[in-house]
Amino acid sequence: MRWLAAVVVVLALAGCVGPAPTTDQYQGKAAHTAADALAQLETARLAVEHAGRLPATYLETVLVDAEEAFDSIENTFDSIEPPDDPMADRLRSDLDTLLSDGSDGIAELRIQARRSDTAAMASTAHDLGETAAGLDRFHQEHDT
Amino acid sequence: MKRVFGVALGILTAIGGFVDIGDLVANSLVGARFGLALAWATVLGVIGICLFAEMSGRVAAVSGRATFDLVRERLGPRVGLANLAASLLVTLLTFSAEVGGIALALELASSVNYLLWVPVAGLALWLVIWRVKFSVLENVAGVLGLALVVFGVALWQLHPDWSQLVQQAVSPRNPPGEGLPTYFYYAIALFGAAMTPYEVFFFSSGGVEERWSAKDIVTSRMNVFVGFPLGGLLSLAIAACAAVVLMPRQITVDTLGQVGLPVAVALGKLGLAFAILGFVAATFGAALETGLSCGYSVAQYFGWQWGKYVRPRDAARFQLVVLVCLVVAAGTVLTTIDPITVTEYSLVFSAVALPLTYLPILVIANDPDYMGARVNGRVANLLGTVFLVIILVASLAAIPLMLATRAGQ
Amino acid sequence: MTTVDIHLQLLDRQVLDRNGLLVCKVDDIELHEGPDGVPFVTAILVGPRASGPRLGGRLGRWLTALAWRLAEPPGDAPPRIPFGRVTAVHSAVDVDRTRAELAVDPLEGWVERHVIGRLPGSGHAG
Repeated sequence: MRWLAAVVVVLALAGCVGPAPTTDQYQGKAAHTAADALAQLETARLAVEHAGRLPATYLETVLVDAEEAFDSIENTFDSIEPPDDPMADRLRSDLDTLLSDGSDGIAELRIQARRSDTAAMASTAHDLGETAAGLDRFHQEHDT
Repeated sequence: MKRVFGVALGILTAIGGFVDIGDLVANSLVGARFGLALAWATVLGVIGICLFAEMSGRVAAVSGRATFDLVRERLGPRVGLANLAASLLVTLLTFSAEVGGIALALELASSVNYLLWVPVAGLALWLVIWRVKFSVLENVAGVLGLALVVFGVALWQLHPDWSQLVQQAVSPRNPPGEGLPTYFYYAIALFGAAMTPYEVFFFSSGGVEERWSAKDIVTSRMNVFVGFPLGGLLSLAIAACAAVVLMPRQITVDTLGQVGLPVAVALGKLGLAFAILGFVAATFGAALETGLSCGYSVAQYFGWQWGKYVRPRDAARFQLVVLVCLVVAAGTVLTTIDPITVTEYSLVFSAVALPLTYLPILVIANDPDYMGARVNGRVANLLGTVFLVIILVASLAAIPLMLATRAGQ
Repeated sequence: MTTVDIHLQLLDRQVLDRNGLLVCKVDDIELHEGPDGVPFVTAILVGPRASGPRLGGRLGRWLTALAWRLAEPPGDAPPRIPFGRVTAVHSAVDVDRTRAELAVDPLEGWVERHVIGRLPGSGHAG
């Protein structure tokens, strides 16, 4: 039975710290992350664009869910060890900029929604259009 | 006049009761990602469930016995027990998904965290099962579920490019960027969402609860052949709304809130109110059905008294099983596992369990010992056999595809 | 005299009491040899002690052993319904006594007394 326990431990550890991916794999993961993040960002923006047509409770729930999901996507990407390659580093920094802009933006939207500050929401959502476009471009460029 | 009213009510209940959390999530998710290219899978599932629900309703009406009741007799105690174990697990998983769905819908209406709604939902479910008459429970949940018609209204209001939608549905190619395994994985999920295994056991047990006899076969058939396809149409409307509103923004669906957004875009707060009502009614109704089905299948295997048509103390073990399953389902949701994830898994495992559910029905509906002269005709058997093959393929492919696509990534 | 195929029409069939309530399944049957050497059915056997052996394999043996261990009341035979009580065999098996009189399933009574019966409203059908 002890060998079984050993196998389980080894598998568990292997799951925790994956080996660093190749640059191609990393690019694929980055593209995937960008697509997932875009989906959450666009959900938030769509909801805010129609804020007048949503009850406050619904809008808030959608924004809170989008924010949680976006942050989770960002954390998962940041926890992946990039391969030792300048291109990978550039990918990481480009995506990280977009992700942190998006994350801050959605958090702001959530706060503004709670305050029912429709004007501020509209303005933030509009500005986030750039981040969304950036994520979309990133995904298109690096999708393997 | 009363008879017409009864038939109409039955049909409306069937339409409103068709959609559950699996249909809501699967159709919206697929619509946002594939447009209507997988509509054929929903249509196929609807035809399948109509076919087998009709058989199972006929079995209840003619023999006075529910389908699972007869599974042990025809398949033997050993195979019957394996069938029970597998069906119970899948139904329990679906039950958990529905309870999670109720909580998510109430969160959308209130902003109160969904976890806090779980005990409330659990208690409400138990009280309804304990005290509310079967036909009342069915009809109220079903008619309130009709609120989901708002998705059809919303679709109309969105003025979509109808020719494009039809084009997508009729020439089902997988969109660029989506692999074939993913395409078929979601086809199976949609198929499993329409052909939910618990539905046929529930339908026939319900027939016994409502004391159907041979003269109720016509009513049962109307419910099935009119009600279920219209319910299927609602599923397609949900998918189409997602295709029109969410797909262009590249939004992938992973929350119940996203499912309702197209209705808000099209119809505003009033439309959304109907959508939320529909979400609550559909998930609550389906939770009642799956919870009762857990009790039905266990009691019917062992021969215990079951049903709401007797006093709870006269069906003590049945009531206890339902209560225990409710606690397990609620407990599963309270582990904070994402209810949408539970829903997606319940669909895959439902697809795997489909042959276990449907093969016995086909066998029993052909048995003159139970059915007398009302055994299956040639058409029913031909279609039934064709579907059995489709079901087997879906069941065998489900897990490999899930692993290959990492659950549809 | 009608012939009944035991395997197809008797075993695992639902037993109904005098009032049409569900009692149990025909978990197994008891056979005796008649004076002419032909076996005939003398009783319906009920419960896991009866059905366990029919499950077969390791699972069946384990369940049967467990059932004998936990048997209440302890005895040397599973609960039985004498076949003379049977009035009809159709899609179910009709018996001429009530559930309470047959007393083949003490567990149901236990659950009713100690769990379900304690909850308010258990005496009213939904």
